[in-house]
Amino acid sequence: MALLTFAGGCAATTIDRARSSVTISVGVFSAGVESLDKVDAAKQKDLIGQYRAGKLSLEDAKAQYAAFSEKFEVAVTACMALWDAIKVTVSVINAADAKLGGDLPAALAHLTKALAETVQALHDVGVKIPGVD
Amino acid sequence: MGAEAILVAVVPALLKAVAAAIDEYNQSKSDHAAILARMDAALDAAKGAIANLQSAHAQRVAEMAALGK
Repeated sequence: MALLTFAGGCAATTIDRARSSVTISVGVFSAGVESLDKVDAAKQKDLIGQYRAGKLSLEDAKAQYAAFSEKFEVAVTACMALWDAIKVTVSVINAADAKLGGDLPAALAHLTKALAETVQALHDVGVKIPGVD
Repeated sequence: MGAEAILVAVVPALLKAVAAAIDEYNQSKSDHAAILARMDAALDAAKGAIANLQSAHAQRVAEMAALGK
């Protein structure tokens, strides 16, 4: 495969991991963004429904949505950080491909950290990732 | 089309484009620059989808704030 021909002193195992991590990260990003919107809509609908059915006070409904909203914002921020890490990793892979150097292990470490934080943040709002969970 | 509808309609297509570009990149030994340019464009568009996600959430926050009034 083309990525296995990368120069720049990168070990094949690191290149393999970078390639796999980018692919996995794009999948998590995709599933995360899609699911976040669905989870947000469902949460709001459920709380409004409970309030209108008299099962939840107005204050409790608003408080529960505010608590959810805080976690939602964290998850969105994590998805944006993952997007940045994907872009950086792709750029570093491209630089390595063009024999321009680049710190692929550092980019991979950053991507791995961003991926873990995104998965955790998505879990915290109730999003499950196909292939991860 | 509302923000939610745009998000649902656009994001899967965008990310499929990114995934396809990565797959093509992994299998191709030539014209990487063009493939990466397409990948960059798809990723840029995906960031726009996040803005739509935030917009939809802001609308729901406003609706919750108005609840009971």
